[in-house]
Amino acid sequence: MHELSLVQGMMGQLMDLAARNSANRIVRVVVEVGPFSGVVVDSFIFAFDALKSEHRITKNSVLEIETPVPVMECPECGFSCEIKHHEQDEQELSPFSALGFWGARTCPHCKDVTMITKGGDELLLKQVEME
Amino acid sequence: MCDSCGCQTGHHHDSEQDRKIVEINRSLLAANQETAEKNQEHLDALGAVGINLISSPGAGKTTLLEKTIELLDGKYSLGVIEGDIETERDADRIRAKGVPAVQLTTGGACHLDAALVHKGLHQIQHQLSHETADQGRVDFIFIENVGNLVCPATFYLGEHKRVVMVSVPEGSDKPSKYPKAFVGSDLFIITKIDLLPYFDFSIDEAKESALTLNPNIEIIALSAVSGEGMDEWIGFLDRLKG
Repeated sequence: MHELSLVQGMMGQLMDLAARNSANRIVRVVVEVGPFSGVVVDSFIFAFDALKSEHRITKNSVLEIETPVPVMECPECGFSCEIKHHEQDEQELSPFSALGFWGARTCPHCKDVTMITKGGDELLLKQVEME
Repeated sequence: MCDSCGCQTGHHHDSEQDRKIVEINRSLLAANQETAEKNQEHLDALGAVGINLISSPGAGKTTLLEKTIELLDGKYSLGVIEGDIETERDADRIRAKGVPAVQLTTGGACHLDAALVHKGLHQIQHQLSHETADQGRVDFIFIENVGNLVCPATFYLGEHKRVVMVSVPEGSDKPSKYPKAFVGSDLFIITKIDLLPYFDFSIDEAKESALTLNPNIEIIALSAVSGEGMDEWIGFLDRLKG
């Protein structure tokens, strides 16, 4: 449910951006939501659709969500692999999918070495198109 | 005639031409992060260690604080910021123990954010400066988040330590089901262990899954009612002030 307050904050940023660029309309908003960001994409879209109609500037704005794929890397041998969610891509499971999506993993080659997760917690207002 | 504006000049309004793409690359949490960092400076200025308590409703956050106040028995000066959707009840329970407390009511929001805690810090500082001799300096400020194991995990409040709590009746699969709260926490407290004989709760499963998510998390199992394990929690607080 915190998606609503995040979108509320973003709407404020969009109004500021439009004013600073003397734009009348926000055409497109690109947001990056990492799978570890704690944000449910469907709820975020729902909140955006609910709130955009409150402002003339965003009434017809299109929201695009980009989902970066996080990577796990072994600090010893450099082995790395993408972390994928079961539902995200069932055909292409990473070696760790069976263990669940979240959580620290030890390297399959170095055994006792804990791998480092890179990315996945992104929550970025990336790009705004306006006119 | 021009289709866009009806003027007679025959020119084209090329909407593409007026379009502008701006790269922002700013975190949606950036404003919260900045306020949270100011909150931590504020805590530091008060001499306080700030502790953010996160759990689902009814895990025993307020009861743990009540018992902590009793056990510390004035060893440290304390302040409590209570977050709830509605009512002053939790703050009243803390005040009844003689500790300054501020109630933040979110009016429906499912989590505390840094801006609300900023307000709470000013209010608690005001109370402390009236109620304590030491110019409002305080050893610990506990921030009891809104009962929710999901949303509070996303919002940094400026705390020095984050504590996540799960009570025995909730089940030992909570860490696996609500991973983000555990990934971002420094300490995991299993509460109400006096109820272990009555529930199918595996301390080992809870510990193991929390450590898989966050190998650095500390874990304490306790009961505020029987007092078992409370010494470990007090020891954790002692180390923060040591």
